[in-house]
Amino acid sequence: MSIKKQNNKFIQYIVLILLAAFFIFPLIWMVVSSFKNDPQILSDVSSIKAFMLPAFNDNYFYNYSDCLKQLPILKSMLNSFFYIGVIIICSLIVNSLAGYGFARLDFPGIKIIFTIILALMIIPAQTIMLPLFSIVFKLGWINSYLGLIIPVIANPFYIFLFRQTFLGLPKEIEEAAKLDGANQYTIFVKLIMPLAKPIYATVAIMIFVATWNDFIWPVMVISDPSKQTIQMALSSLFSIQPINYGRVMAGLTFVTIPVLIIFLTMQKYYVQGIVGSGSKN
Amino acid sequence: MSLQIIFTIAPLKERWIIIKIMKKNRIKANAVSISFVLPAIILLFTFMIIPFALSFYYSFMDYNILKPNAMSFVGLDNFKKVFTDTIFIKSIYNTFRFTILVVPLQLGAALGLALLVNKKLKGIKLFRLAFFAPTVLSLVVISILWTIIYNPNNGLLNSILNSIGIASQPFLSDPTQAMYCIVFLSAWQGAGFQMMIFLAGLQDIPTYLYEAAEVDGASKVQQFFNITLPGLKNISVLLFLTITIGAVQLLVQPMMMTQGGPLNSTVTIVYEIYQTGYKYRNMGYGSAMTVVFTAIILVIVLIQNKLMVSKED
Repeated sequence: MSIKKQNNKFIQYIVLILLAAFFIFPLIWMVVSSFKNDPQILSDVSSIKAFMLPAFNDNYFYNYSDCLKQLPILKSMLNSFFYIGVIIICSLIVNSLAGYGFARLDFPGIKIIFTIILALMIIPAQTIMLPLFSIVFKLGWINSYLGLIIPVIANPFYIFLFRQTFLGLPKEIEEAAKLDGANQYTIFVKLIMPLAKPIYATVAIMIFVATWNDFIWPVMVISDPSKQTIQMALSSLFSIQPINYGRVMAGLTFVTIPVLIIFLTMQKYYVQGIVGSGSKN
Repeated sequence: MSLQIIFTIAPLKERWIIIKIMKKNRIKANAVSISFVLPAIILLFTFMIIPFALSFYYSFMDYNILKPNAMSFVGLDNFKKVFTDTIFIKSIYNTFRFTILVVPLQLGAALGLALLVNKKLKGIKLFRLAFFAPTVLSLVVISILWTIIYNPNNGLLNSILNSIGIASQPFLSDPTQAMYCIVFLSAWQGAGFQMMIFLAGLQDIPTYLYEAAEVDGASKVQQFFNITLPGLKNISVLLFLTITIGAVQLLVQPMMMTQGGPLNSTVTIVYEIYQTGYKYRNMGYGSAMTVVFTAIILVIVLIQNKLMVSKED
């Protein structure tokens, strides 16, 4: 019995290791190749050396310095951090206020409005991208971060998440504060926001991941190379012919680092965001 | 609250004063509540509801965004064109083909992985991390990475295939293989995400159910079909819906990897909308495509809602 169990465990580990290799081999190849020059990448590709770091040499970080020197990768990364930061701050304020409004306050018609907002969740961004582009165009926000920021601040799903969280907070403390003469704004800022910190962190990460990965909307809005986002910079790095593999791999690795850091340091909230997105409905 | 208590104990002729105070408070409270939700409502109205309505309006117009004054009403012309446009019809076919292939593959892989990592083994967290890792990368990154991996001449995948005795494949440069390549990498990238959601669902199933089944002598397979699957029903239906909606919006992979080629074999609906409306500035025609696309999504949502309701009965 126990030998059978041991064997069972052994087989499970073999399966897990093979699957893990399948899921991460492209990533390992990407990172490892970013430290090699092109002839080396191409000669290593047919053997296990493809997944092994080269011996340390003077040109170890050549691809990275090349990538940063020749292309505005760093600049576009800062661009991305800037506009995403603004989106996160504005979006947290606007959506959490609305979530609180829909959770606690009542006035005629509020239920209908909330139902409409829930219905908006099924409108995919792609179905409105053309008319949205024409609106942004008319507002003169082409080639401006306003066009990237303002349209994505309000989000029905985040409003919904905030509302659910606020509904779960005990009402009694708020009643007590109200009796003490605090107004709604003070209650919200001093009481509700600190109590709901985890949901703020979760939504902030969801916004970061969504906007960091967003590609098509920035491509449509921004055409000035000095304002381009990091994903756009990567795409133009890949379009330079002939393709310099080592440099492209360095760019890809470099761009993955910030997301990886956020994932590893805030894994709890990150996963909560994912599981939360599974509770949509 | 307190005013209401005073109201009930107050003498009859004083009650109207309290009613007045309550009314005044209520109006003030309404103004406050409206100020909470107003910014979001204005933004959603301007950047979601209006564009949504505009796409219907533009679909009846001949409209080039660079010549806004030359906008003219053309009736159903755009729609007549949409349904005779061979590339657009091809894009609908391609999008459906992608969706039908990727949804079961990704959902099945996610469920399998979740079952596999829902065990108390040493180092299991590392394996979860490994399966989840591809989802951390952006679509642009994985599209570039896999284009290089799929390179038919000196790509990584062909050299791996060669080393186990399989001949080199053309991958993205072949019209019959290109879409399968995109399906494969999309499922590879996305499965870890749904795995996490399935895992949370698995951990929500109370363990006493399994213990009771064990006592009753139910086999592992019976436990899976009678406890695990029913326990994951809601999550599965939801993930089915979200993966499907995500799949019909396929854009970045064909845009980065194949530009819709070879021979339009990877042109998708959203890619066509982008090309027509943005690249060629044909806003009216692109909007007609958008309306058709919205109708498709609506039908999918309605069908799945129906499935969800009938399953709950």
